[in-house]
Amino acid sequence: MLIDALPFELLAAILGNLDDSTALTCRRVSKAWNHVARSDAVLRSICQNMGYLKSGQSLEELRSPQPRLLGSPLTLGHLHSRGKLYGRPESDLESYETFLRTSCLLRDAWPHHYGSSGSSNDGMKDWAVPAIVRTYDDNFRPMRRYGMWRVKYDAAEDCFIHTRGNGPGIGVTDASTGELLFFYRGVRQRAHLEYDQGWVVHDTRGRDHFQIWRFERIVEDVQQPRRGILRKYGSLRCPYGVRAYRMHFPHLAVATQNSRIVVYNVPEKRIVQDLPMYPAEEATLAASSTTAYIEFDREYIFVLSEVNTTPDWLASLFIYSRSSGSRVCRLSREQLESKAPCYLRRRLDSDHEFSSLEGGAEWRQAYAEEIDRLATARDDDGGPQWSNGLSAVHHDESTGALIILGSQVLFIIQDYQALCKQASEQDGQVSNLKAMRIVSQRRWSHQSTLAVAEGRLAFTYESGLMLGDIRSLLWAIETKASSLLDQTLWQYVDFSLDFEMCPSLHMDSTSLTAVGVFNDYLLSYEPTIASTREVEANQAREAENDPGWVRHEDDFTDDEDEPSQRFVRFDFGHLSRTGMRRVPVKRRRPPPQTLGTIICYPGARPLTELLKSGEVQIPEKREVYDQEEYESEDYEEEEHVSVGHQEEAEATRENVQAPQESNEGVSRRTDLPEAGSPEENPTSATQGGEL
Amino acid sequence: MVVLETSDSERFTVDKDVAERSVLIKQMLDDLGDTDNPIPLPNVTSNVLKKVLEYCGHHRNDPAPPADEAEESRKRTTDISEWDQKFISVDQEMLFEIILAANYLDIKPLLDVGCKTVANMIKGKTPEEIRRLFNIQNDFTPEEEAQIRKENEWAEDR
Repeated sequence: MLIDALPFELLAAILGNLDDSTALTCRRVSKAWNHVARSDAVLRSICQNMGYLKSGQSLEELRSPQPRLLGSPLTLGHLHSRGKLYGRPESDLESYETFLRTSCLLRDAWPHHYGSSGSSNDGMKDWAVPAIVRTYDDNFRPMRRYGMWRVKYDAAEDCFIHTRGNGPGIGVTDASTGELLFFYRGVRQRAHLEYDQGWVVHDTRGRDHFQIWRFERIVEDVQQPRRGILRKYGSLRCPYGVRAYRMHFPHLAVATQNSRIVVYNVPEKRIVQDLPMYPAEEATLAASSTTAYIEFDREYIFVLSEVNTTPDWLASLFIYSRSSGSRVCRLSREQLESKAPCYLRRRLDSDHEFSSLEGGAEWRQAYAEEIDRLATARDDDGGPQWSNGLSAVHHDESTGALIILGSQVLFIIQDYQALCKQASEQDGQVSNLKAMRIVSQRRWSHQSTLAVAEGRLAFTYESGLMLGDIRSLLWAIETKASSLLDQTLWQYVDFSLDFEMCPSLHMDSTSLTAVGVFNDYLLSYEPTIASTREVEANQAREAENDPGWVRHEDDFTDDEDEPSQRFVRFDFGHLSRTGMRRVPVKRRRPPPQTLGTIICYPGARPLTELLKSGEVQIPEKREVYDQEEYESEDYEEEEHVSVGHQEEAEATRENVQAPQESNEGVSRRTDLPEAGSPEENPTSATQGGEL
Repeated sequence: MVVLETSDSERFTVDKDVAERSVLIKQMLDDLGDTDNPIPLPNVTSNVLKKVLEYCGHHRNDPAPPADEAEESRKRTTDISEWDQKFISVDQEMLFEIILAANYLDIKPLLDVGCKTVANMIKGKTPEEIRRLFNIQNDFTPEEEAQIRKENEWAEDR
């Protein structure tokens, strides 16, 4: 009996057990095999084998996600779309063929190597490099020197949500054109921002409230949601003062100033949990502790906190159980260090980036001196300014790992849920910690930023980004293959990121967004821009040992003292296999045109498409969101929304004078959910002032 | 005890719980009620059934597999237990016969083992190697094959 004698569905069942690349090979075997290997049954099964689809899940299910009802529990479909699919264009879902293809490219868009992935090629492979799809400066029209603080990316509408470092306000920017779609002033300067599934939460000026916003697309009664427009949903009162917070919709976990943990249900606007970080007998510790970071999953809450045990500050990871409300364990940085084997990551190319620049050596020297100064500096509270503490903790659902970043160290804890379980059974004792510690000659401080998503991690160091693949790192723990580390933790150096000044790093399954501030010295340098057509020329140049950096002095004629800010977006989805691609948007911006509320710019493909399909509406009149509310507030002297744009300034003024004329504005205000109904929030009357 | 009769008229007497590893036989028994008559299996030959019953006997105490498609944690290709691996180390012809029989008798775990074993044979091979392995005729014209190769270019060199 030959294999060809098997009926179609049995051959399909066989091929469905393959990995993606072998399945493609099978198409070339014969016409019959080609036919079977292209069938949806096989492709679907392969997608499931590779983890692109969950077991039993179909593409149809993803194509028609169930409407999210307010406060309803998330179903598998929702959770999934939050993970693997979130942010991917709908064209990916056209067929299993395109879905599989983009999933593979997405996976390969990140340096990874662990074990044998099932393909014939067991050796190290060259990976594609995440492409910077766009770089942006922060001169959003009509606002210049916007000064991004926290930035989140919303893939569904292809836009950024951000708070400001240079002044009050929250804004939404079109990611394809870099133009401001929405802006509201009533948010304190340097407010932290959390974003998940269309919901935005930020703290207020008094740090005793949270403001909740939603994108119009998830507001139930909006028939034709407009792109990039946020609507107020309400506010949450935090009676203890906010230190740190994190949102995984629908929950918001807050570490308070008096060392408590409060968990809110955001859509229901209520507190679901309120627990002390320290038991009663440790009250003295509670008084002297400072919380740096909070993170949580379905079962546990993780807190990074520093305790003043004069003369030293002791940084620890605290883990709390959400079900019992009690502390599971406490691991100090020293304990983590003693239990996790250390791997030193060697420096690549021994400062190649610096040495290739004119004056780079001096800059490097100055930088080292600054680090030494910081090491001994103290802040106002007597705490170390350059803490040897812990700065961020994230869990990764897809790998079950817990990632902890501290100054000059990165911890990766394998299977943290087992660790928590063990600790809760053994009265907080942890004996079997499977973890790894990575240090590097690269420098990073306790102010470095960490982002984790879908098995990928990224953090900032002195002059750029370090990227890593969590599965590879876990594999290295398992096999003790430290030699692989240099390949799995991988460095991306970009001079537009100054090490101390990266206030935001955001990553989802398809992209990474980083905000940085130009270092003065490097202000006049910009990476060579290589479009797809220029890749070859670029490679030739590299062959000639030209570092490929060029001067662009004319780009920076601004004589303002403020450092210019820039942020970049790496998009894992737009990859060529040839390597890095930089696509500029600078200086390609079409002239602005005011069309009602949304400031629209022709040529922005996504928006025009949306307009054509009627998904986005352009209101007839320009309306400034909640104009009255922020006009009534006494803000510090700040440049006006419309500086440098006379026409728009006039348009704004007109509207301020006669807001009632705008039907749109009136209807919007009435259907706007009140920012905290009186029973929810007794201070709502003065909320504007408090903001 | 249940009596099974193969296509070549050989009879096998086996314990009921062994026979009921096959969903087909289980359903037939449920329909027929207690009977001494042999159950005919016209699509299975005796040498194949012997092999299949060996599998069923070894796995007689396994928990019932998840009922529908929503089976949790689909095992990865390499996850075949040691006993199963030894059991399935047979020549190609027998392997395909087992797959066919497992499909006919509706013994999902055995079908999985069979399919995964064949899949593991395919892995890492070139189209030509696969053709040689299974004695498959290449019915593509060179142009057609080049066309498919071109389509798959994005996944090359992985």
